[in-house]
Amino acid sequence: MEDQNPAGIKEVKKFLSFKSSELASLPLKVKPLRFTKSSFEKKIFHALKNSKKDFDLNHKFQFKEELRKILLSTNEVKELPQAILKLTSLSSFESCHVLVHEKGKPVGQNYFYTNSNYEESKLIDIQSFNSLFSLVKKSKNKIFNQSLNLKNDLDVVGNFLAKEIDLKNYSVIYLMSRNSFLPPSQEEQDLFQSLSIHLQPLLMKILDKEKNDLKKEVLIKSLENFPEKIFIKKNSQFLFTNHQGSSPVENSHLMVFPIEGEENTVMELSNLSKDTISTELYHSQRVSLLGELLNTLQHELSNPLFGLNLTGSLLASDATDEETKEILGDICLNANRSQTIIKNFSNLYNDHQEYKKIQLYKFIEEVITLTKSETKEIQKRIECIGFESSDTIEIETNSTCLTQIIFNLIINAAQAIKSQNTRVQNNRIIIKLIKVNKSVTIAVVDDGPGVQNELTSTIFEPFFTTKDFGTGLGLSICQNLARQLESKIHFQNNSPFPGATFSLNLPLV
Amino acid sequence: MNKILLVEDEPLIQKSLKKLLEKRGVEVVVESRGREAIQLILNQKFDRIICDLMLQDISGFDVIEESKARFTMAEISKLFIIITAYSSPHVIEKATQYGCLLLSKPFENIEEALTIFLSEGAKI
Repeated sequence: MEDQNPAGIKEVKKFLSFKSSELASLPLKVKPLRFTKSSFEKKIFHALKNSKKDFDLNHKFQFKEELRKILLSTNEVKELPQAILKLTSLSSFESCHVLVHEKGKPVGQNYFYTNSNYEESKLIDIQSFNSLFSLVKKSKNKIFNQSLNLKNDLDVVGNFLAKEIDLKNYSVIYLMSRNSFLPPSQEEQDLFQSLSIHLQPLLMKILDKEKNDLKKEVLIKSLENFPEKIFIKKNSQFLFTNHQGSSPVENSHLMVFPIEGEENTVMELSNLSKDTISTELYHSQRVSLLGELLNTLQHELSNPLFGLNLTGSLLASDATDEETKEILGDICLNANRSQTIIKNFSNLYNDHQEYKKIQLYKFIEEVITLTKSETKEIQKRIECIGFESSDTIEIETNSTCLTQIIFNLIINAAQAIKSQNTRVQNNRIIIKLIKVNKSVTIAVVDDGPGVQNELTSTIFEPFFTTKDFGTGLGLSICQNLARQLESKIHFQNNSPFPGATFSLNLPLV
Repeated sequence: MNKILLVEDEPLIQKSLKKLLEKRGVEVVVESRGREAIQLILNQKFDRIICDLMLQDISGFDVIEESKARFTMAEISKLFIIITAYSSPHVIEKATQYGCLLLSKPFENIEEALTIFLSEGAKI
């Protein structure tokens, strides 16, 4: 514009400079005008001021009243953002966040509510929470804007107010935004700041309550899911049980614990459930330990055995007389065998729980090798019934499980035989592979003493044993393993012949 | 193939492999410690280095890593053959990174293993 009309501008400038010089040249005779108040004016001014005070007081009172309502009506932290937004004095705000972090926890919770009825609750990682917390704490006016690099976690637009509350077990940040870039008024800021005094006791109350509720819930859940039957009684009246429809009286295995601080209240624990979890746990711990042990053993033995083998074959090729050559050959052979045995062992106990195809006959042969020391002198035989050839019996199974089952059954058979007499050369264990339609029944048959009829129902129960040094876990573990293979071990005495037969059925490939 | 360095700490394997290789007409230097092996590798000329992974002081991979001071990766992949009793997938993957051939102990076929040790390309 100036460029468009330079002449006009010049004129104005000239005029102005003339005027000012004229003004400056005037003598200072006139007093400068001063604003003076008449008494009437003063009165009005005072009244206005008072009414403003009244208004303020009213306002504050209203605010407090409202707050008290919140305090009474809010039971959970997640309701808090919505409740705060309802405050009339803060009604110009659009959204409210309440971020809570329980000290010592890896994440905090971010509760969020907007006036458009959008509600959200999400987790906030502890780094973001802490950096926001210290940022808010350091700030004096508590005004922030979205340019903070925390916006990913907050969904805030424009300026927002935030204040921190530091409780004993929790850190809390509450923040409000109008979703605009207009800075909040001083009044709003004051109200916002004063919120914290009221929120502090409320938060303490509801956070503690939430935590207790959670604890209670977890406790009840864990009691309900406890593998054994639990009954809690007060003066013989049931308070709680995780096992509806049965009373503990019928069970003889009872453990009774008095509950501290509650008179006449006891917890009864019965451990008669058939699938005792502890058995499986004990077993799986043992197997995994054994697996690790065997792995280490295999690696540690592998090197020296290989050395033996190498040296042996080297010397054998150098040897001139036949006898030395033969002996060295035997050394190599045995070193090789040791290596194969240890390798097989660790393969059997590997962690892989996967199903794979196996040649059953060969597999049973291998398992028999493993039982060699226990079954010394007892004759062992594999019989195939209904199969054209022993090479064609293929099943798909978890070989670790199956090895343990067959291994245990053979050992059991051998121990049964040995319990009867010391001259076992005439005894035998036969492993029968019987074709039944599209499945195979693996039967371990011995000619030992068999099982007394009155005991047949209990032999698969954990901790049942007739041996002097048995744990009573063998058969119950076998039964659990068989269940994992979706099968079941059956037992029968061979009467009128001596001995017993344990069998399980598996589908053929 | 004239001179071979065998880094192996199992005495029986070390002695036998040395003898077996010498029978095939090569000079064999043996070493059971990794640090000494590194000095040998940096200061002498070998046509082939057979290196065990589990040594008493350092691992065979450390030996190879130190050899980078003298050899390029391409040279290393041809020069070294790793022998190990612990051929886990992790070990095999690492050996592949160096491009080295890896033989698991025990060798399934000793004669074949010896042939591989003496082959120029060292790749099958």
